[in-house]
Amino acid sequence: MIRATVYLLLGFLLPALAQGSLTLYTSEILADVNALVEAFRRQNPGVGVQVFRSGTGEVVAKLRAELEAGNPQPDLLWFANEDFLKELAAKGLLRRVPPTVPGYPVQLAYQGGLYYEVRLLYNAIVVNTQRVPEPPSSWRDLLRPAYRGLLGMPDPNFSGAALATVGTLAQRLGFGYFEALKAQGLRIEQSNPVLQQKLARGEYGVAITTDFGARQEIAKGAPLRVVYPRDGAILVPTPVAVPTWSRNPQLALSFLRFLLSPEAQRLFAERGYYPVLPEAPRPAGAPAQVLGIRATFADPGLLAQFNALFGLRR
Amino acid sequence: MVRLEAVSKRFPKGGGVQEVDLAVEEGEVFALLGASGSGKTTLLNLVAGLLLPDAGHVYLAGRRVTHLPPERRGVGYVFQDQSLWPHMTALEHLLLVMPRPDRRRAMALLERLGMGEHAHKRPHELSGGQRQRVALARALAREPKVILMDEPYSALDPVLREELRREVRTLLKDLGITALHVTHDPEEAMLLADRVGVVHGGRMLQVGTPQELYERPNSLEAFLAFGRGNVFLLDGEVLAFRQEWVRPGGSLKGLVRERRILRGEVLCRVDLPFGEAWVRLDAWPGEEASLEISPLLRLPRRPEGEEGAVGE
Amino acid sequence: MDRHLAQLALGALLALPLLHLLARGTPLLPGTLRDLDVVGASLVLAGAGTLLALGMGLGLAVAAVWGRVGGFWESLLLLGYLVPPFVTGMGVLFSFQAFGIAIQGVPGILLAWTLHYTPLAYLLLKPQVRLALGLLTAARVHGVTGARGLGVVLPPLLPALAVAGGGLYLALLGNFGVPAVLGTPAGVYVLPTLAYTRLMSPFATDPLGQAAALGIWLTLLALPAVLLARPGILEARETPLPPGGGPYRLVYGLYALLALALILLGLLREALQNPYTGAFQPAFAQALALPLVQAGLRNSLLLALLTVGLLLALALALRPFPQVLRRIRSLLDLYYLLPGTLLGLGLILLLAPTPLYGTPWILLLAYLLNFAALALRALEGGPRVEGAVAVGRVHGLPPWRSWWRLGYPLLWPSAFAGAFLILPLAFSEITLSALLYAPGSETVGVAVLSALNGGLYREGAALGLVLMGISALGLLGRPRW
Repeated sequence: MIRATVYLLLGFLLPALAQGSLTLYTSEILADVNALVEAFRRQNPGVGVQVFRSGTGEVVAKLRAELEAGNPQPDLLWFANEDFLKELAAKGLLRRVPPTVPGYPVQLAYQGGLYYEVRLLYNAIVVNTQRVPEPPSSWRDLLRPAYRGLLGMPDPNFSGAALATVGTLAQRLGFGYFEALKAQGLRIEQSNPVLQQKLARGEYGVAITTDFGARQEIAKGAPLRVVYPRDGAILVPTPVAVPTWSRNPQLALSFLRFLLSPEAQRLFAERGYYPVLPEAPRPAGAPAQVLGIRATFADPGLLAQFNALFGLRR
Repeated sequence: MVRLEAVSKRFPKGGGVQEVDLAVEEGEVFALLGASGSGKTTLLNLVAGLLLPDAGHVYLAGRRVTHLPPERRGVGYVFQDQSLWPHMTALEHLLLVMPRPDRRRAMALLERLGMGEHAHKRPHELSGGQRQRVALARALAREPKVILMDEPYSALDPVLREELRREVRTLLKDLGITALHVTHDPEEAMLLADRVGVVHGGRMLQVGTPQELYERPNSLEAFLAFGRGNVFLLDGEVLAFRQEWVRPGGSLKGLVRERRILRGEVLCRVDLPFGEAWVRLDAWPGEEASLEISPLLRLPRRPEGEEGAVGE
Repeated sequence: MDRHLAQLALGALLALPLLHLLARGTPLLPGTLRDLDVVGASLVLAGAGTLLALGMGLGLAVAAVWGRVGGFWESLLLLGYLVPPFVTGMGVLFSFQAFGIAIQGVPGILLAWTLHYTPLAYLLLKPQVRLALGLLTAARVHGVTGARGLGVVLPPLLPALAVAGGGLYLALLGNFGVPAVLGTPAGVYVLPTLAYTRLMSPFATDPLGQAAALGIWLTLLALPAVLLARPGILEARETPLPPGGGPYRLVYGLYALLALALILLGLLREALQNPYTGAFQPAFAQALALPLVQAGLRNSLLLALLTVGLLLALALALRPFPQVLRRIRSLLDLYYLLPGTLLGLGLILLLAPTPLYGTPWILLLAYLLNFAALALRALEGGPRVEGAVAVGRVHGLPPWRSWWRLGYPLLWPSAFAGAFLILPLAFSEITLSALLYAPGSETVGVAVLSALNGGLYREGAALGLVLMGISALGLLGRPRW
């Protein structure tokens, strides 16, 4: 009994004390991170990887709180809030780790390689084919009477991708577009995955949401279809960065390199993302090329306007 | 063997004992007699070390033990509720308290108390009388010089009580153990004790043989502690006599008011010069009886003493 | 004098997280005026939930007494309370989804709370109801019936209702799991979920301070009930039962089954069936294969075992000194009674600058503080063993031996019951762990919530069922209520 307790206790302590341990703060989908981490650990036995995963908002908030307390934990950052990374970069808190893989598209390495993309994520229109026989083909199509009361999108306070939707579409189509969507009965769900679940189950007919998540549900048999709007799907930057406070920068770098390895790139495609490297496979059922527009994230003023419009609380 | 010297113990909520002196000889069975709340159990607990006195001293076998913890006093204690340990068998009770656990001796003691076949039963499997025997065996198991018994038979039915009482007295005398026995029952004190101490309101009123206490109580309280009787409050003193202290054919005249038969005795309510009394007398209502009362006790009256006649 | 000082010091030390919270939150209190609607919602929801649970609990207690409901049905009812609240919330969510009803928001929260806390109300009220109905029987014998009978029953029940109501109100006010599952996605906030949201807000200028300020509101709402409530484990006495009746048993059984079905059906359907194809595809293996879940199960098991072990060791060590035990317990009552959110925030404020933050140990500390009162109470309320120990000492056993051979063996059942009471609660704890967990120290509660927020509904449902099964263990150690 006592010996068993001691072993249990050791099991409790060791992961925290192990030298070869990497802490990742990310807004990636849980199952996707798990697949990557497992593959990475198969290549690097004995290395512990701890993952804090939540919506971009929560991840950033947690990190901010830790910075305030002077005790930041992560060795690797990976979430959809470029502005926060810019802020960190301005304070000199990011380590420059340029992607040195041949064929890497340079436009995806931001700020000279302070942080960069490892796979691409688009905000697109996803429809439930059972509820919506005729899918929209552009952003403005969502304002058609046929889609009234069927529309949903995730909460930009929680989801970085949604923050990009608000920023980008407000810039391109004006904030009036969202007012019109509100009049169309657009409802706000907490997160992309929750929204996609509800969309797949027919609670919604049309959603502005991430393409890969919808493809993952389609793989499970969900009656969904991803539509990349004619006027451009929103390319959401979800770059990876290594902070200077990392206690294990070498491990962080090797994880970064792993993300650009053929195995990881293939994993991304399997899970519905567009890999960044040209020779990697495309996700199943996805067009070879997507017309993407680089996202602009909503600033606090715009977000406040959006929150006021939809009665969201933060 | 057991000696208390001016022992006092007060409780925050009232009660307790005041300046009690007591000396119990070796081998003696001594009864502490008193109503509930009179402080008898407090005295036992002071001897056992479950309570520490505010003042005064406690001696056991000539040793001053006033502030010794209970485990170093070497007494046995039979509690009113037996206080057996529910998770232990009868035998385990004995073995636990023996300084050198000895199964054979423990079994012998249980057998002596008629509990041989129940040695491996736990308290909940035993009857009230059997539990009492286990409690007694436990108290005796460590071969104490002194045993303390707090109303040990109060939970038993009369027949069983009678039987166990007799057995225990024999046993104590055989073993030469000094016993301090608390009871509220004068009959029990009378049957069982070599000497009796009457406790009332936290004080030791009188100590003596049962006969002395019965015949020559030194106070109204002592008189009442030892059974029923007629009591008359007069100026400055109290007249008291027991029903059975009345014989016909004396100089005292009284009118018979009522006749009753109680436990085979004829009792009459008689108008006497100092008041109405129940006496043992075979007469009929309306008759005038001539009586002799002997002894007729004249007891000192306390200012706060009880009022009125106490009779049947 | 020294003892008083020591007590004061201990009290201050134990209250430190709370004091820190008050100090940090007070300057930001004016900023929370825009959240007064949430303060109001918390108050109204907790109040309404209390009345609902109290009413149902009272009804069931009457049915149980009249119908002489026995162990099996009572266990079935109590299972509802042993299931973690957020699992109840998930069950309600999925069950209604199966009928095509979106129950999120206020109705969902109230329903889940009622389902979860009615058994608690029942437990708190039943002994008094039993007494009161005994009085009613006596009153009937004396010809008092009808409305006048109510006059006999109500007065002895009112104090029990007030105490149970106070306890329920506090539990609801501090409940995080149900509003997190059923409220937040629908934009319905209560103070614990709002504090959590504030803490996690990427745009807050001072997330800790703002959450602490909400903590002050929570304290204010809780305070009256804390002064009123005596939580706890009941000691019921056997009183003569009034004559029984079959229909009461039927009502009782129906409720117990319905409540369980409402929770179970949705979870089972979600966990077992592919929602798109309708095929039978249990999600248990997928759920248990998630590393987060594995870590969560491991950490929760360890935390729960450590918590129970340490607390019971403490309680047993203190038991020979009942005065000290009672004093310390009454101090720690605070952390059992007050919403866990307050303790969590207080600990973050207190310990964020220390190396303890971001490790499992801060969670262990939080669990210890949170569940200490329960453990101490389990032994405090246990059988009076002082007598047995004193008897041992009179018969020559030294104090330590007397406790070892007599006191502790007699306390063992209470300790066992306490362990089985706390173990499931600690295992599926979520309020504290949602605030305090760090990467690598996720608890299973956090894992389920994060599966749910990540759209892994089926895995979440499967885990909910697993947790339900584990919670049912608590029934094994159920004292004879």
